[in-house]
Amino acid sequence: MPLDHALAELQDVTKVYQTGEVKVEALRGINLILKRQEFSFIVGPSGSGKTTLLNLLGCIDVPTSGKFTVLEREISTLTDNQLADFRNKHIGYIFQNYNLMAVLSAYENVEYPLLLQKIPKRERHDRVTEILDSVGLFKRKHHRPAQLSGGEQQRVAVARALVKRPELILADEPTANLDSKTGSEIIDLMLEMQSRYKTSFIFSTHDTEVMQHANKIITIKDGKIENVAQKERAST
Amino acid sequence: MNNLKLAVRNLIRNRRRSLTTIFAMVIGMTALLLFGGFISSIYSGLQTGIVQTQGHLHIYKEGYLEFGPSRPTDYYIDDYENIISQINKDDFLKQRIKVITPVVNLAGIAGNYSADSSKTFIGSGVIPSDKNKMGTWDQYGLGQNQKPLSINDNNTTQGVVGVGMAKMLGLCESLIIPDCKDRPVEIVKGKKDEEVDEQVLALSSLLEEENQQESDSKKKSVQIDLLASTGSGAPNVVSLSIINARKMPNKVLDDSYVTMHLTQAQKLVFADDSRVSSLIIQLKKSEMIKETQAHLSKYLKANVKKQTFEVKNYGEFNTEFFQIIDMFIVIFIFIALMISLVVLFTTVNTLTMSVMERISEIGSLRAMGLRRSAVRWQFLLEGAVIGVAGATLGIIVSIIITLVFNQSGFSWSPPGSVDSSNLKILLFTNPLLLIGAWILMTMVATVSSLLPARYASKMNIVNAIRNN
Repeated sequence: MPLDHALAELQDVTKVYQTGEVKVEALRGINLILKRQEFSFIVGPSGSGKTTLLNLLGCIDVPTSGKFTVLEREISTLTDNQLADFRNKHIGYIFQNYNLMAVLSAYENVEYPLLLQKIPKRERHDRVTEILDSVGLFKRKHHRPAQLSGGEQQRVAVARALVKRPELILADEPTANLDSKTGSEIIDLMLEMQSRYKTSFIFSTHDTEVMQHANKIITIKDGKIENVAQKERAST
Repeated sequence: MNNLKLAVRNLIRNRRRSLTTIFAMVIGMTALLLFGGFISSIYSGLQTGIVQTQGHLHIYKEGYLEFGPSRPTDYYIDDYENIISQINKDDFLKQRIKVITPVVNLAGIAGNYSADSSKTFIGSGVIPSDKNKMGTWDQYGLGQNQKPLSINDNNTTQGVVGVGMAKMLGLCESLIIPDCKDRPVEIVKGKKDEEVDEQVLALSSLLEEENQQESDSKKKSVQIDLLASTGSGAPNVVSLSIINARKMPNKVLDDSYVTMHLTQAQKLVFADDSRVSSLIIQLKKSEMIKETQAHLSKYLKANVKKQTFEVKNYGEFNTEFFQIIDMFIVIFIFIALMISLVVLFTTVNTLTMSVMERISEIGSLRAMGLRRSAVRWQFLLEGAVIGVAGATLGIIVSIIITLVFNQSGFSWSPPGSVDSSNLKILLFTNPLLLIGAWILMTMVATVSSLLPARYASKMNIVNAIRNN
């Protein structure tokens, strides 16, 4: 897909959660265009709607109204299975709590998305080995999550998100549970991976330190985009 | 990493909980199989008892089962020797039949006039050697052989009665039957008969002394008379020398049964040696019943033109058999249902807890692109793995218990049998029991996982991911 095509486009998107009789407007009239191969950050205070926006971009939630396309697909029109297949093929996720499968080793956790894509065993092995080597965990490939440190677990999560070579990786406060040094290492790793695999990254974060690496910073407040700052990325 | 491996690992994740569930299944499965094996034992024991005494198939004159017992002289098989010889000429039947023997069923009054006793009787006239051969049938290896009859083919005037019948006819002391006492004889005392009384008492004590001496040396046979009506309605009497008493399976039969040689029974009922009530057929294997019954019916129709017959199997002439078996099957089904319910709730509980513990993991997998159906299958597979493990271990444990139990030497008398035989759990006699129970438990465990699996697959991804 050409680079000038938008990664995601949101036109007057709203998201309303209804709990009993109480309606909560998490997103109110969001208009946003995200380009490919950017390293974007969604920032804002707690409850501002940044996770909701990230969930929409990750196609794990659908808007209440408005037009929303990711990779030129109108997300609201997709069935549940189509959405799952779309996520499987195009989107990688990195979670704040890593969310690795406790019963699988680092190697198996990274291999899992490829199994979902029915990639042949040989190719799976090559790709998993390559990515684990890239994140510096090849020697720890047989360790289960409980045997890895927080930083190592997040590296596995990064490898798991990248191994299927998606066009978009979403990371919900990926450094929140890490110390600043490890957090910085993870961001560096993601920057390196982005430049190697030409993947678009979208983060949500509170961490002002990691924002210096961004191409684009989207500030959100009370469910509305307050500011979109395009900037040159600081050198790492 | 395949789904099965993942399911096993997820179950091992909470080892104690999974093992408890599997253990509950093993106990349930073992209980079910042992009870099933016990029912197989009852089935085999009961069938063996019936086949040893009554055979697999009976050939009657048409209508005998409905009306024959009231008019035995109207419903008889004529020229039976020729019919047996015809049957023995057929290769199909010859290969399957172990014993074919004639029998005369009769009823009347038996009297031991020396003891001033008489009693209605039911009885049968048999060929003793054939009956003894039938008594050795043991398809299931139960070691449940019938005691041979005391009468033999050469002496046609001898007979055997039930122990209860012996009591009533006052034969116990003469035949020296253990735990059997003759009816006490009241001596009526009169004022003028004191001298006579003294003589009677003296004679009585002398008789007792003599009896004691005789009992130490040998049993006595006692002559009884049997009275029955012949075909013309005229009464007929024959004498029978009772040489032994034999305990019968139930009291009614024990109190009224007389076995005698076929010739003597024919003499009493038909006054003709070519007629019998029925022909008893014992097959080599019980599985041959249906095909033999069908073939025999056709064969008799085609080859014996003068008479019309009906061929009945042991389930038809002995309806108690299937009533008893059906009762045990109903109990088995009830127990299977109870055990299935326990397994169902245990598995539902285990997998529901597993789902609750893995909410965020389910959310992550769904976010990565796992379809709802794949999540559902994952939990169904975990239920199936529990089922397969529990059912398989249950079979192994049942086999071990069965082997130990069968070596322990417990004995019992199966329903319809007098003699005790080894009590065995027949686990392997009916492969359907093992296969059926295994499939049932696996199915129940898998079905139990439907609810948790559905819950897991319907989970909202956003809420699931938040659940940390």
